[in-house]
Amino acid sequence: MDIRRPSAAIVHDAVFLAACLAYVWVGIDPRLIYHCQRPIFYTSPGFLDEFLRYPGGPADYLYALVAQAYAFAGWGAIVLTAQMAAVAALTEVYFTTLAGRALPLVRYVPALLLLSEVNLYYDRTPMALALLLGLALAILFVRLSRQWSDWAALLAAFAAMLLAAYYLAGMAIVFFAPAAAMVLIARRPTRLPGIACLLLAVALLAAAPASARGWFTDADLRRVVVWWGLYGFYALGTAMVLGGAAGTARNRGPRPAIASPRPRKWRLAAGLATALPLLGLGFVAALSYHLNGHDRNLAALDYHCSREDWPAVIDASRRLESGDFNSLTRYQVNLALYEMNRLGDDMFRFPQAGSLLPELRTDRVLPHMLRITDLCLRLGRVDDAERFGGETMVLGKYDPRIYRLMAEVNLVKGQTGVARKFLTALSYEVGSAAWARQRLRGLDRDPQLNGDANVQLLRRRMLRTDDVLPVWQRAGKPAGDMERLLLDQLDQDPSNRMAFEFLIGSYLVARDVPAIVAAMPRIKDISGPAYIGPDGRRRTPRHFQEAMAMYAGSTGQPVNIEGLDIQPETMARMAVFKRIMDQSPTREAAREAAWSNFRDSYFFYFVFGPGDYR
Amino acid sequence: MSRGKRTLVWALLPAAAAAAIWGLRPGAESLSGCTEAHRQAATYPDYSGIVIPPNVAPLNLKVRESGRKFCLRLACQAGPPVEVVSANANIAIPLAQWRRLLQANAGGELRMDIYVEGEGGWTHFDTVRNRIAAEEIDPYVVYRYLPPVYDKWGQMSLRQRDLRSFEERVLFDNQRSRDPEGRSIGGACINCHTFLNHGTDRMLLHFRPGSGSSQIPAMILVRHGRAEKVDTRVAGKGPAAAYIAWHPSGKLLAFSRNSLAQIFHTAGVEVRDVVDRDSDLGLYAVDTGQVYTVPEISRPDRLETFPTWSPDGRYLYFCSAPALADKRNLLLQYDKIQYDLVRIAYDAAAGRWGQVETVVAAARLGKSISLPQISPDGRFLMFCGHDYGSFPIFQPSSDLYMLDLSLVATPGEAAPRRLDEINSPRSDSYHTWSSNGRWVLFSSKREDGLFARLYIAHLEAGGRFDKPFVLPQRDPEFYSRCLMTYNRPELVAEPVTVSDAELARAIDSAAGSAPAAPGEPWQPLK
Repeated sequence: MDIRRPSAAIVHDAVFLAACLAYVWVGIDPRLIYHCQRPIFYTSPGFLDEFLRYPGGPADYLYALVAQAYAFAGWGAIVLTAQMAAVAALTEVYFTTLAGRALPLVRYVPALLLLSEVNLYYDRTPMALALLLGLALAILFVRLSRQWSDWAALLAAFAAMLLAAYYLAGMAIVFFAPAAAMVLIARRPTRLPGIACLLLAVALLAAAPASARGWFTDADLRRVVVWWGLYGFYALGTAMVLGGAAGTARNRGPRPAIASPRPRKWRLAAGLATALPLLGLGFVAALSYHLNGHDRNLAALDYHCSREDWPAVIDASRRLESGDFNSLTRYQVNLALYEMNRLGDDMFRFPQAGSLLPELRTDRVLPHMLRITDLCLRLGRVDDAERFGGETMVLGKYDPRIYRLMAEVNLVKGQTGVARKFLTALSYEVGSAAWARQRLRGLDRDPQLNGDANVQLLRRRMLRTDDVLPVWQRAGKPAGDMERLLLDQLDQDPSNRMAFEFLIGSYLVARDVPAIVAAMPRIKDISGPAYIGPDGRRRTPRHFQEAMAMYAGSTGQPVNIEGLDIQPETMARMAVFKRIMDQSPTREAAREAAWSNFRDSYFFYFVFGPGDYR
Repeated sequence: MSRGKRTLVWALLPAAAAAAIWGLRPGAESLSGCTEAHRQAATYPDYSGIVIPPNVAPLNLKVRESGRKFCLRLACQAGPPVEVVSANANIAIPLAQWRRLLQANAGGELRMDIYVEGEGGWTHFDTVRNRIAAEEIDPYVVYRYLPPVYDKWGQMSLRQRDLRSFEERVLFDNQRSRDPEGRSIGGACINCHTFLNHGTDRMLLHFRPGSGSSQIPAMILVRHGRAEKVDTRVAGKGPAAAYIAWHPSGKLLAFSRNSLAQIFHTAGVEVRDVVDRDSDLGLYAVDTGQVYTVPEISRPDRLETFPTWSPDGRYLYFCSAPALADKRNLLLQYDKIQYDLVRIAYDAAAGRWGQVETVVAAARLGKSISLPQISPDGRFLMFCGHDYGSFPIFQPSSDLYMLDLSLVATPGEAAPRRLDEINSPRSDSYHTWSSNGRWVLFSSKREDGLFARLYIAHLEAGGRFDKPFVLPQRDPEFYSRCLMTYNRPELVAEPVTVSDAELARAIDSAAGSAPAAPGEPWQPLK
């Protein structure tokens, strides 16, 4: 069989794959896939065994290995594009094998559906691998069915391939079984074996693990569209091709001679026939990109936060919609501001509402658990970090992110034996090996980590007083009394800038001026770039000044707190703001008048309350 | 090439291959003329100065010395020595040769010589002299394998390890195991597996359902490969049987039901703690399915837990502590509770119970007592002693103690011995006797304080233990990266036969209700 394609097809392929590569690289960004899916791959002995124990495990194992490339934007794009190319190529071989001739452009449809799936970020199903295996087996079966005349042998081959597909890639049967069954049905004179195979395939699908049935009934409509789309494409495509082939066979006659060369009108029509489907494919890709934009923005925020790329976190947060600022994303933005020494100056440039910290409660959502473990560690609540980290280990199983956190927790606690275990385990994980080995070497050089500034900082912050019934987690406050928690940390280490700024920040958001005034004397122990002005003299973050200026304005008394400096400009701005408020006839008018100059100030937030003032 | 030359080449090829194989065989290294290190080699795990069972798996180890080639030479009085040469520091001893060597030398000495080849040639480290005991250890150990649990138990399995090899079998996995209809048990907690007289034909399991499950906590009773679910609660409420002990006759079970609460520390080495708010002992008649109790073991003013029978079945030993009066602040007083070791006589023929008598008072020992286990010959009673409470695995202070019951003239005056030869500064706890009473396998966190591993120790006739060693693994580096903990080991003489599907079926089934009790009714906890 000759499946060589004309040069136009090669051009189409090149254009399609180049577009794919650009789309994946720039649009989807494989790093976000890696971040959301966290494909875990250990090189330690025994890791493979876990995957060999269940149907579909080998494909999961291979996917975990392949997906390591997604950690890098470029490599990830190349690997994903290669998968699309393989799917397109095998699809063409499949239909060519069935129909005896190439079907133009059809080969791109599954690849496009797969791109839509990749766009979902979180879906860890090894779809492309399963599809490739299913197609390869289907092609093999089609060829065998033409060479073998023995029904029993064919049925045995079908059963063996079905089992192999099921064990190796689970869902591969979805692509293999209907195609193979239809090929058998199309064989005459009897259709019974083919129908039996079809029934067997359906039965296997019904008896397959719940995850297999779940492919078609997922809560996420975007996922369902992809799966049904792929299934429908191959099942209907096979039926149409086989039906067409049967019809051709019945009406076999001499093919009309192709007139040479075609007139220009025909060439234009052929060009349009090529361009329109390609444009259609492009439209689908754009639509899929648009529909998944929300997930992409949230994923980008979480990705940059986990990499501690704080400017990128702020940048990603600008693309979030107001409704996306939940307790977790708010915390991530505020953490980025804190790490950039901007929390006290810029927090009201972003939507603020409720607590600045996420709830400290055991949850089944992995990102939440990772974040609160990290939060506890940063604050110095190291035992709490160990506790939540332990829960996260059960939830995330072999997730290296939690192992890293647990290694850090134990390093801070001085439990280097435990830390070494986590680091040794990580040294077998492809994405963490270099970091873990470096940390182990550091531990060999400096067993107590006396030279590690971050560990020393966290040891200073680490709570020393045991409280078995944490006051911040009383029955009335199951998610924790954050105020008490932060005050405990400040009692432990008065220079704990994170505890101080999040405490004052929480009071600011709650518009609790008396509490701000009561806590402000602690500012004398706080230091850092945010507390040093351009002239090298001590300064006070803007929002803190604004709150204290409001207090001074309302009481008519000067504020005299060590370490606090309210600049004249702040008082002047407050006077202007007050004048606008006084002079505006309505609240709405006042809001409009103050919007351009004051919407990022605490004055504005205090008067108009929580909102998105970007 | 001429025909003659070709013939010569073909003739020489087998000889060359044979020479290559001969040259690469273990022991082919030229170790003569090596320099002496005058110290023992550092290895992981440490298998020096120990006594091993003659049927234990090979002591694969990693040589923690720098070099480019490593050789381990095992020699005994009888049989040829075993030499293993490796290009990396991980030494894997061939199972068949190891077995032959140990079986031929039971009761004798095992010499281990380590050689490391560096830039200057081979270096020999001092000979490690171990002893092969004459007595075998039971061939299987059944244990829970799980991550360090805080509050969630979504990843837990019950496993069986063949101590004679490295074969490990998952008996039940709370995520993967399915009943015959393919249903999952939804992440239920499985624990406290107990066997009758080191056999596996009759075993018990306690399980607690996962959150959001409609299942009830219950005892799973396995007999002759068939599992059934038994609801041991009072009127379908409260906690189910937790710590369970078979009467040696196999006809009666003593169990505790505990109202446990987990608390977390905000500072200190160990984050977790468990408080037993209330507990009682109950009884289950295996043949009739009756659940009942007697007043002496379910006193309202005492907490009673950890039942265990003497091998002759004449005494039920358990731990008992005064119940704290201040129920509201019970959790705050977690470190004020200490358990005594007590016992009560039992006449199985008449079904009569005696009076509770204190065997070891916590006040006298200065420690809280938990997990008593008596050696099969009835002579030794081993238990955990720790600062407070009843959860030794969360307490670094937990050590193993032993009481020679043959020397106990007056209960309450007994002087148990802290087993310093096998204890460590970290939690040493759950122990299990071998059926011949010469081996103890226990869990210890000595390596790092968080992950428990299984250690094997040999008991000398005089009542002293030899240095314990960690359960060998095929990959000697396994423990250095294993982030799971080994929990509640039980030595058994035969493999477990009940399937995980059968256990899952029983867990998913409706519990059989206990018939009306003829004796003392089973009361709600105080």
